[in-house]
Amino acid sequence: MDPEILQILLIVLAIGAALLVASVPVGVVLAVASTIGFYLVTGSFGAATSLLQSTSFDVTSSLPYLVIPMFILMGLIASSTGIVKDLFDAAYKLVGRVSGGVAIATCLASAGFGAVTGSSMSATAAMGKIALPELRRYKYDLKLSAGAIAASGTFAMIIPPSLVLVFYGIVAQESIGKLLVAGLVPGGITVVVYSLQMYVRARIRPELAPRGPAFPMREVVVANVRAAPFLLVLATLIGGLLAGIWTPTEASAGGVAVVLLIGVLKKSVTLRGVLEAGKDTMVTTAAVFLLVIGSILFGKFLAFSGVTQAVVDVIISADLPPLVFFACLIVFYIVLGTFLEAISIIALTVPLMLPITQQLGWDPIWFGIVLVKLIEIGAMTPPVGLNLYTLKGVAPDVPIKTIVTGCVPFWLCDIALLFLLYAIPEIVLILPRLVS
Amino acid sequence: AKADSTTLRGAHIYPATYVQSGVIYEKWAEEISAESDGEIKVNIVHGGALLGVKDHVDGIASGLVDTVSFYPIYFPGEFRVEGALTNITDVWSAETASLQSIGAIHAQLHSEFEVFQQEYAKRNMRMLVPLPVDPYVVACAEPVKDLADLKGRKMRSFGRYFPILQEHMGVEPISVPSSEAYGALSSGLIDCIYTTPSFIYSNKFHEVAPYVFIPGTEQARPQALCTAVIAMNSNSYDKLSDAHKKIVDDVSERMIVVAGEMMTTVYNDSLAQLEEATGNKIVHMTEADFADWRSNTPNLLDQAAEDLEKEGYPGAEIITRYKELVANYTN
Amino acid sequence: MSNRISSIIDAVCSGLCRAGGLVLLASMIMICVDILFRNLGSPLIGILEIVSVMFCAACFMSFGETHRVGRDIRVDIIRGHLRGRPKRIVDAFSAALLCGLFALIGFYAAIKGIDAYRDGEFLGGRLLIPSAIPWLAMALGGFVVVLAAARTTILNLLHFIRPAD
Ligand code: NA
Ligand code: NA
Repeated sequence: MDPEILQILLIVLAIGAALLVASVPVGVVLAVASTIGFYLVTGSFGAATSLLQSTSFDVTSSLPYLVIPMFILMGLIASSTGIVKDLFDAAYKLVGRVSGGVAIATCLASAGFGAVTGSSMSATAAMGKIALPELRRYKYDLKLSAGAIAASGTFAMIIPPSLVLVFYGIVAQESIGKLLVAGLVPGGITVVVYSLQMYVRARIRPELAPRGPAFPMREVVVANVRAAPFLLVLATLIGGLLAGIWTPTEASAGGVAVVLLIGVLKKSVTLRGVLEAGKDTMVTTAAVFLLVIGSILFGKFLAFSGVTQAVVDVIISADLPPLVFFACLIVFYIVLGTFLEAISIIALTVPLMLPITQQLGWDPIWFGIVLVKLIEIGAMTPPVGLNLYTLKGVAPDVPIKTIVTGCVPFWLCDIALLFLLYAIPEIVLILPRLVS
Repeated sequence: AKADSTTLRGAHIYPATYVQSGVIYEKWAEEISAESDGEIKVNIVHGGALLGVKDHVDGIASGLVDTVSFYPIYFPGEFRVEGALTNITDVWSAETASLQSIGAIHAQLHSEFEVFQQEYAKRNMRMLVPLPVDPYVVACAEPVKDLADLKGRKMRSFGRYFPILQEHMGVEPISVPSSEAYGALSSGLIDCIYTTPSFIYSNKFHEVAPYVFIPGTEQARPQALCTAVIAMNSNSYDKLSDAHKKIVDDVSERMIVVAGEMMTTVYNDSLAQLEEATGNKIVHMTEADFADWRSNTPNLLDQAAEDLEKEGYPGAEIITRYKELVANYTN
Repeated sequence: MSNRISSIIDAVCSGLCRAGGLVLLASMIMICVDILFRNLGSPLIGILEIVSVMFCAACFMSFGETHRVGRDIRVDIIRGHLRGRPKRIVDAFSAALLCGLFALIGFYAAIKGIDAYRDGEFLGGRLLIPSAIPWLAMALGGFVVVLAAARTTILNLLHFIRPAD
């Protein structure tokens, strides 16, 4: 790598770090740092700023991103209709006695959203609006709650539908059908591991998740019947997707329509309330999108600088034993995932990494799943974790420190899971083999 | 470093393995490097990591990159003439030019009509190598044996003129973002896609749409013009020494022929790969069906000429010349 | 700065964002209509083209309000502990950067919009939607962010020089 470029890269990172600490909005930090970087390399102000408006246009006019505001809106309206409260009442009465029960229910609901959308940010945003107030109502620890929501949001990438896995399939020239089923078992295991982790923590420290009383069977049944509308919404969204009625993007708009319909039937929404929710949604969306725009610009700068290629070259030429190489990959991808969104990471690194992973005899389908898990982990790693900040965007009163520390236990679970996948690749490969 | 050495930055919106705009682009870069004894180097960032569909014009116009494989088909409102003609398949003429000739015709029109160059000049761009795409075919989730079978099926569509062509195949054009096309095919939201064999194979669409139907009696007909071109920032070009300019021009001219040959191979190979991967035989349109389809569909070349005239471009003249050139190349 | 100007900025930010919310609701309804017609066997072409432009406009109509109500996403570790002058200067600085960023975005978008309008350019697709629409919407939205962020900067600097509290 050109030493001059390396110098520029270090300057850019230093400026970025300084601005971040100075509490400049994260999206602005990333956009400004990358613009300075482009300027230092090209020496042209015009070239350095040329992508600002086109990237802004690209993000805000791109239909797959429409899922984010739609899900936020759906969460807001669903909460105001009372169906969210009904859902959590049911969960509380059913599993409130279990340690961490309501948080585990939240984790499962996130997996449900993961089956509707491929966007972690949208699942995190929806669950942030829906579940966080409820977990607070039941006096669950804020760290635990925030961690559960930000971490469970990542299921969206690994449970189909998943644009990220589709994109990996195209870049790696692997069967997309196999990749999509390959995500199911690891995704399911992650749900179980997260749940167990919360259960154990709540057992050890009951104050994290105050246990509820036992409810009479009748009351539990009644509460669960009352929770049906929300489950019906999720079932409708997933069913419509599988039946070819709508695409994931459209499903999010369909979801808003369904909760609105429920609200109208229950006479619990007003026109004024809906308009207010629309405005509220846009305030949050604009905050999140500024972050996305910055992140994409920063990814473009990293691609431009050639640093990823240089680092990959170093890792590959070190000729490491497989397990050490795997550990290096974990560090490398988590760092990348810290700044970039999934598509840029795959476009930048997969073509470079694939040949070496194949030499090591790693199955490309397995590698794809491991990669997505790594990208997910990156999305909840500071300093720049898109999921962390998305949750911050929908729940502005929660300090970022709380969200970050709340994610740590989930983060550790994921790292452990990665080594499990390394030791037993069959976890990933069993379903794709059955399919073919 | 040598006295007269230059490194050019490049960007490509699709993965490096895409032959039309990736493999050929790299080959062009390699040949320029070889011809200049390594004095010119071109570093290309693929996969949309640096520039994507919506920003690759801004990236090259501003000089953030020096070269790009640019897709005028995505900018029909800014690159009017090219944008229109890349969205049309000529099924009306008795014969159409081969893929090898499309690039040459594209370059020829560029040199003859100022409007082409003006559109590039306005964005500080210089067109170097037109890159033809392999011809569009139909791939469906369910078997198709003839045109009647397609009736009422939902087919992914995009652009200004494709929907018209598709409607007259009897299908219902549907818009689905390309990133969601695979899922839409697998869930049955759409039944078919209309795209090129190499795009089907590299995007794995055949996993969910394994029945390929060629809208032609032998080979499918290609797009009227090349959907992509290798382009260079004009300032970056002007900064090159005269010797280097000549190398870039010479290699670019040679690449027009090479690109045509490579894309012909890609078309045939992709169809063979699709046949092997799906185990389904590729079905062609019957003579009768083809005759029906072309006579039922309004002539979009004439339509484009008319549309361009309305927008103040010499559409009629360009289309007439286009047809002349095609006739020259097919004789 | 006069209160008059300040309250105009408040009203513009809030009103635009409210309109952005309406645009979002409208695009939700349009997508549902699209789904409905497609599943009834008569698909509408071009709804998604309109929706993507509406979505772009809605976002840019809202950036100003997001800043005005203090919902920018930032790392609050240090800022949370600041009071008085240090907090003023930090806030002035980040608002100035935001202001500069959106000034650039808005400026370029305005140039593109005027160009596109003059040359009659349109977006890809069946409907030939004029490109000037999204670009000018972005320019307008960018301009509003510049106003709101400039106000934040100026007020914080004024308080820095002459702390009222
Ligand atoms: Na998903
Ligand atoms: Na991160």
